[in-house]
Amino acid sequence: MSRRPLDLRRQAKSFADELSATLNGTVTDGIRLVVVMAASGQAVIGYRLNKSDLYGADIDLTLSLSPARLRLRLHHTLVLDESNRHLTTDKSTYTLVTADNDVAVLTYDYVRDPPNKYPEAHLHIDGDAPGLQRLLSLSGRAKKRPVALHLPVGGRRYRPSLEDLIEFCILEDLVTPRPDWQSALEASRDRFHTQQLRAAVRRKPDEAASVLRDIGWTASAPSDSCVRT
Amino acid sequence: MSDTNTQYDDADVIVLNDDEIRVAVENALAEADCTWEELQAQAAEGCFVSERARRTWFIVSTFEPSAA
Repeated sequence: MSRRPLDLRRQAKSFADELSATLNGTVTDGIRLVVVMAASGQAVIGYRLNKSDLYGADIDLTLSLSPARLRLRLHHTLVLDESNRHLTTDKSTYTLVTADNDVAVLTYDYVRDPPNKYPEAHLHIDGDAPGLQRLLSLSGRAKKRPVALHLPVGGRRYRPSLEDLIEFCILEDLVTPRPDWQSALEASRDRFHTQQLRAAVRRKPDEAASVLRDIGWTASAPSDSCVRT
Repeated sequence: MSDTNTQYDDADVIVLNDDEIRVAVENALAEADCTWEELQAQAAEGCFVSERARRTWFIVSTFEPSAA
């Protein structure tokens, strides 16, 4: 196995561990996510995946043996970026499912460089939504269901995270959280935001240097011999 | 409720070779009752025939089934 998949394996496992910790620190108990990766260098993270089943199972959002009201259907697919150094989410999808009837309620999707015209980060609303259905009818797409709409949510760098979805479930009293859920959530969210900030700086180093100089730091461009990623 | 949830924060990592990936992708497509070409067409439209189809595209497209 080349260096690239080894790096992906290490980083994907670390990321899966972080997601498990976020879930178990807030609204689940004893969840262990699984990484399935190709030797050629792509990975998918989900729950109860195995070598012949990449779909796996939904996660019960409950802390006890009592039946969950909601389940989370979670998948992340990961690759290394162009520099072969940084883990990149290729796609992620989180669906909330009502447990008693196994029906999807809403879905947060992220697709890096999607094969269609829609925004990379978007929200789907499942089920009946008369207002959205009316919008579709007015636009000549009466045969489409509201779930077909891609509601934009922040774009690549500022998209909602798993933490936001968990927080939604807690604040709306849809699930029972652990007493110390806020600290676990904030620590996890801070990691995500820091990763996004670092990625933004790598993409816009001149802007980052300009901001640093504005607040008194010394920042200069690397010499020509340096590799800028 | 577990007292030590940290014991679960240790993900299993399963590494598959090309043949195993191909089988896993074929299983996923069969469960979704779609071909890869059908999923690609649905993804291009941004509209899938089912939640299962949509999620299957999310999972398998990263593995480039057409090249498997």
